[in-house]
Amino acid sequence: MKRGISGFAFFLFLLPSLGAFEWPVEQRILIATFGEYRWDDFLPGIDIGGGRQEVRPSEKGEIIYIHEEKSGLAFLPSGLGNYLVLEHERGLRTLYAHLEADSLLYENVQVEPQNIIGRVGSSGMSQGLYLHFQVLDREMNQLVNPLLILPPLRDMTRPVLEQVWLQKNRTRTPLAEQSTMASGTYNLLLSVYDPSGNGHYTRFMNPHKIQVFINGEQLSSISFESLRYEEGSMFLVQSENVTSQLLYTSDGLLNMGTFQLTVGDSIVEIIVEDFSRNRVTKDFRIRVTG
Amino acid sequence: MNKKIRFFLFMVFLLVILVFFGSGIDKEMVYRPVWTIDWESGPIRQDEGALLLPYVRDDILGYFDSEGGIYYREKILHGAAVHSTGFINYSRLSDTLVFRNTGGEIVESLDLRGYPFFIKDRLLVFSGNGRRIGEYTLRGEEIWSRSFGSLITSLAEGEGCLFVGLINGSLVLLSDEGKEIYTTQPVGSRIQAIYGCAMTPGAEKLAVVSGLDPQTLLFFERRNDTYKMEEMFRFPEPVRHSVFMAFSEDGRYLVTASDSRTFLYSFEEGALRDFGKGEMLKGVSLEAEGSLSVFLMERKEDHRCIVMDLEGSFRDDIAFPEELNFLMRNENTLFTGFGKKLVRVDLEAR
Repeated sequence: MKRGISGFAFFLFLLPSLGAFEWPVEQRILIATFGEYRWDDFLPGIDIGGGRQEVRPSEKGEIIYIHEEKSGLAFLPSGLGNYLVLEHERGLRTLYAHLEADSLLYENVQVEPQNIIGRVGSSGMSQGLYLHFQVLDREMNQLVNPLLILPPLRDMTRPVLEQVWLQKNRTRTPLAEQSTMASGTYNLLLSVYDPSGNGHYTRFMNPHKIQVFINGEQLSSISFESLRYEEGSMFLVQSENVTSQLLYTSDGLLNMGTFQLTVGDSIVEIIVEDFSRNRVTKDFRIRVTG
Repeated sequence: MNKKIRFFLFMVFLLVILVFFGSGIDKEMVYRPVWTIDWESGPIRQDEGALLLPYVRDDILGYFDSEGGIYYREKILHGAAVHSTGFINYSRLSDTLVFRNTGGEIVESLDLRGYPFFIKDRLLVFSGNGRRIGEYTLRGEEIWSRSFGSLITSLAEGEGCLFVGLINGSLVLLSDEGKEIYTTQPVGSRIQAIYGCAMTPGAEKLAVVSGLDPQTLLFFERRNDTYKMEEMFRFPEPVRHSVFMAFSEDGRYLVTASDSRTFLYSFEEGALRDFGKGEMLKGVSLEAEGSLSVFLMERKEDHRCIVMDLEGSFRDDIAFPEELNFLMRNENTLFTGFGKKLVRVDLEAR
């Protein structure tokens, strides 16, 4: 799998917007992160728990679309339930989904961050009370990870690289710090998460970036920063041609790419970083036999 | 006064109004109530090969025949995709889709996730994130599916194609194999978004409500393999939610409806007619035969079934005692739901 386009340029593009956006709810408990595996696609936003609470615009903007479940003849079913879409300056749009029925703001279309635009509910496909929040960069036609533009959450905990496997012909071999493997072509699979144990997260999250090096050469690099649609599929922007079907195995492991092990010694280096730049690095030494 | 007596009096009143006063409005037309059934308490009949018609209102689905027999009824879990041969009654999470026949028996458990609905005989499923749509067989096999970079706000079906409106302001026409055959993005508005779309049955004409500031009603006509914009109107009352839009079968008229305004566009007159201000459209039949259309309109204070000539010559109201929730028309037979009841009214020309 060929990867490696840095998301840094994109991040710089967004920099003028940073600082203007606020969290849309008072209680900020992240329960799902951008780019997580969702059946056959990436999660294109974040889910914020914290109970039934008021929702405010993330930035000054204009309500451009209101969707209410079972709202007459024009109704189209949606897993997002009751939702609002706001347009902001600089071509950014934000979406607030799974809102409580009858809580959506209709009167004012020009809204300020202090205005209440709805209440957190559990409409649509939500499995509890939480807000699904998305950021769309309309100019670049990309969905952006909201954690890139929202004020950072305090997080001192490093991500966890739980397990690494080499897979060949559907057989997975867990990798220890020192391993011996037969030569051949392998897929590198990771179980990795960000526990961020500070009360802001209730379960394991996707980290921000993952890099894999084989003998000092980069095998792959993924960043959960933005998504784009092309030819009817959704791709991670910072990773060339990576769809959710390519990135995730059916049991939710990350597939970091295919590489060749030749006879001799090899070193696999894996670096995982979260949004607060907490980082974990692990090296795996592999003796490769014929 | 108990409910039965009240209902009997209402039916007598309806009969009197229709027979004696209806002729004053349209001398050629008589409205004849045939039967009324109660969906909550009516007996269930065994299916003996009768032609069954689907019935769906807010919280219940079922099947009935033109003689007033009820053949099946079931509470809707969250939503229902209903077809003449069966239905899918799905939960809010919609993680198990089961197609059942008109008697409620399981036909197929579909290995699909999402929100299903039928357009004519086509089973379509929206993904949970609102950005993907696919078409499937009744065995759950994918015919095609397609993701979009933006939320889907509106859909319209024409012969062999599907017209998709997106919140980023794009319009995409898909073939019956899911291939993109035409795409456009109307410009000229400060905010770009598609709020509604409709297509004539033969896919010759497209109508779109697009953008904000200004919000426009656009008409496109097919030219060989592409569409060309023919007319543009400023939409009289801008909306920020999806608009209902439907063409008459002959393509001569278009109805658009939002919360409290309904407009009728006549291609011959080239004009939009404001129709039913302050009323919510709950059902519409724009069939071409006899140019007779039927609208179910709700106001705060009353519930009306309006039968009108599309040319605008006649307009007649039938008042109902409860909220209107269903409309089906089969030539000159109307099936209208109000409250928990369903009434058959025959429209007879004399």
